[in-house]
Amino acid sequence: MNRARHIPWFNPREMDDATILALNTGRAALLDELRQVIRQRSLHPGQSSHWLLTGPRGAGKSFFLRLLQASFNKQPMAGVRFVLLPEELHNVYAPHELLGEIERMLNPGEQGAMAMWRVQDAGQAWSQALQQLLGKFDESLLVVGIENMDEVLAQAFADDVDNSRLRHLMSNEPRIMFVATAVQGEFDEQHTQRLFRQFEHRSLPRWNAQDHRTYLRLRARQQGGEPSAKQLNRIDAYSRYTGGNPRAAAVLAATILDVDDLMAGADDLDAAIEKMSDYYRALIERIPVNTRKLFDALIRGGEPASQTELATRTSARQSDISRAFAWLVDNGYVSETRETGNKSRQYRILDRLLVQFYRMRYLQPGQRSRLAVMADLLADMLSFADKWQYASRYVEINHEAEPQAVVGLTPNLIAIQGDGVAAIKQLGDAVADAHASKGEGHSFAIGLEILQELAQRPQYPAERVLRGLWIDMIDMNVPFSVLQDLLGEWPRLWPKPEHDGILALQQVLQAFLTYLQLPPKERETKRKLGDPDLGTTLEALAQALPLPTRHRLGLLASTQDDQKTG
Amino acid sequence: MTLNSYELQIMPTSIATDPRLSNPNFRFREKEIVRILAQWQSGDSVLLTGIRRTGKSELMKAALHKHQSQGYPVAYLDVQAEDNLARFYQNLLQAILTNLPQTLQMQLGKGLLSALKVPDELMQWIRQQVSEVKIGEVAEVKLQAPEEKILRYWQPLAEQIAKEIKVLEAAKVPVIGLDELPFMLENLLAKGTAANELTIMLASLRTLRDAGLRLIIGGSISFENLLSLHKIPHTILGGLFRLQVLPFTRGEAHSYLAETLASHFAGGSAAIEQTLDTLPDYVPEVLKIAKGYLITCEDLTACEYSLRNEIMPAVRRAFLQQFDERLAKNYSLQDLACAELILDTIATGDASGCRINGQTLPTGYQQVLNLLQYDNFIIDSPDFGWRFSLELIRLWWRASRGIV
Repeated sequence: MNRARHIPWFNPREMDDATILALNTGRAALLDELRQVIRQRSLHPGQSSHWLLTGPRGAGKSFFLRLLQASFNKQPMAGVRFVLLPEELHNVYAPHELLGEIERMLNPGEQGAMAMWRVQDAGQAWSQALQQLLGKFDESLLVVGIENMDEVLAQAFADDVDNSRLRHLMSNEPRIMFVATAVQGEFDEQHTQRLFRQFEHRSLPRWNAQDHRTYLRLRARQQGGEPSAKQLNRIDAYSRYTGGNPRAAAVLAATILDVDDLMAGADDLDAAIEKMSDYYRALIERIPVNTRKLFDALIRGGEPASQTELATRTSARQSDISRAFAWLVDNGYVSETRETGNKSRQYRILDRLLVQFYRMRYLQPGQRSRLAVMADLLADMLSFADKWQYASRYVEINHEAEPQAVVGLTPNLIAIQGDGVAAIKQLGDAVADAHASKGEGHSFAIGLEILQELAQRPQYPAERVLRGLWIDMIDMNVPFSVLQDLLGEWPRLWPKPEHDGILALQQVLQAFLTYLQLPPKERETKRKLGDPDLGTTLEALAQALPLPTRHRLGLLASTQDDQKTG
Repeated sequence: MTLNSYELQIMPTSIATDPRLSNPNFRFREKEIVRILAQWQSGDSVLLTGIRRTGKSELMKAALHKHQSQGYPVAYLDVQAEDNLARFYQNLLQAILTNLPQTLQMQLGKGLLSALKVPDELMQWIRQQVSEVKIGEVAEVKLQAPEEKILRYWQPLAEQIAKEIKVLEAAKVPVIGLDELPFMLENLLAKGTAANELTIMLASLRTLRDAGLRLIIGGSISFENLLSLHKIPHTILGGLFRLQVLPFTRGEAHSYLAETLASHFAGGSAAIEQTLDTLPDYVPEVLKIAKGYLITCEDLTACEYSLRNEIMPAVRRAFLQQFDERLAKNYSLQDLACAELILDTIATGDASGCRINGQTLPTGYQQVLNLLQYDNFIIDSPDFGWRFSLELIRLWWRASRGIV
């Protein structure tokens, strides 16, 4: 894969202040709040607040520090100076060396001191470095931006006394304020450590759909244009796919704006994920073993899922998994949602790029398609016609693995041009596949998309589609609720049934699906009482369902019995 | 000792201008401050206890600030980074001397110089401290004390200071805030300081206290456990007024959120009620965590999402883990079994507290009960009962012990 392409737009250290300020998205409130805190600190030295910005890779932590720097450059604050330390501090291995580096960055032209091999009296060195630093600026407050604070601590403040030196400074030094970043705030949450909740933690909020829209506009303006209506229509799919991760959004913006070809976008994304693979591996390895089983089951079995579903997937009781699962919630791996009227809580992995990484590395290793990394996005974002167009284009240029990724339907697309019945069966397969890999909502969306497409093609009469599709989908284990929902769309798609048979079939299907969703005991009662609807249903079933399906659904014996009694 | 910019500027003159003591964001705790001031009024010292991040240091500073604003001298020493006993003595002596009225400084200085029989070098250093104080201007702090000599002669020196203080008018003697004293002890132990040196240091603090030097001591870790662990006598703790710093009340928490989230959606009463209903405790740090996330929430759904997915996980990470670890670290297997029995009994009782029946517990349960109290698992409740110090711990204990 092409991973050499330089990916602009998400390395804030490479951007000038004007670009940073122009692309600022979804961070205005946080920036305002921080500036107010800084102002308060400069006026009331008794406050000792320091900020720690947390968020996964790509959440915009570095960008925010650059934004703060750019905002100070544009709108200086009386009595306050801001200094941003280099991204990595390779010359800071003792506490006083951090102070030395801060002092150096007050005059960035200087080379800086080299790390000392051995420090004789750390306390003395710290006191001297602090006095020296405090003498180097006149302002009442120096705000210091530090990236990867956890690494700085591990590197230079590892023992208790050093930890306390930093804590003492943070609690008692009115002229210094830290604005630090870290992927997780764990280092400041260990009660056995001296530094415990010394920072005010702020997690960078994920971008919502509106933020994606704003960013897309800002990016288009950077290139002298505005996004088209068609491009803006992709916002929901775009924001669902990125999961609110600004870096993913920045990488994909060119694809959404049609500046880049899909392949280029996929390569950029793949490179971004590749660059973060150590980070993702560490994230996965950090999960305790039993919890990791649940994490795997959540991705492998499809999201969102309830704890009950996860327990079923892992052949456990819900009480067995509850403590292990709580770890995923407490450590920010999954988010919990509860839909109105639904008692069960549904869980979904928060970092969508982590899910992509997991799928690419562990579920579909050796994936030939370059576009596979963004298959979800494409499935969600492109219209059926667009998918068809892309698939055809890739087939033409012998990129045989790509069409499958573009729509997940390529064999079906090709087949549609040939034998209709086979095509419809294969479309049904696609819906079932979508359900198996991505869940119910997704399978309904794909099913509906297919039906909409077919309804516009005269060669596919409603009856034929209906029979082929539902038989196939039942066979493929698509949930009945999805079938029912699709059936509900039928009158809209084929408003004028060609003949009464279709209407009858619709009714039969509806009754049948209702019947199948009944608990076995009720089904039994219904059969025994000779419910008149049942006869019709079972008759239709007998005609329509293939034998293995009836057998699988446990209906074969009763059908035969009923036929006998009938 | 690590001095900050204000200490560097003001130590030799007066602590009266120490801006660290005045935090405009400090709220509530009026009752606690009244109690602390009353102790000082009657010549007693105070030990602040409570789980980490309950606001002990802020309370100490606020009480010192209040006392100072009433015209009394105070000094605040955060000793968490101190790993040199001689430097601690030097700073303590300076804190006492620099905060005495000038006439008393002279008096004390003279008394020390005439009564002490210490080597010339040390005498010279003491003279230097006293004369610097006498000048009463910003002067360079002398960090080069004869450390060995100070250590060796600290006991007679402290006794002499105690004698001199005893005859002074109580209101003129400064109240000294010693923050994070247990951490300093840990540092010294880690550096190889002998336990008897520490015993001398703690005994001298007691001597000074008995002579009328009022202290307020705070620490992030249990002082009692640390002393017991290293077999150091608890003499220092005798006669201290123990003040447990408790979480805010619901009303206080409401006011805090309303004020800090004013002009944000989450500062509205519906969002605040939702937040307060979800949070199990109103520890200042818990509210601070909540505020940090809620500030970006623009509707009730967003608040609920944040409470479930961000705030409560952060609260659990910061406040539950420490108790889990304390049980594993501070208790022998035998003690642990007894602790579990006690905690089970309290967890099955009423949230507001319940009595425990000592007859059903193993012999020596009182010691475990003390440990649980020192470790802030439990606090006493009215009518000779006990309850969990945090509702969060009660919920966690019930869940992890399968108590329905």
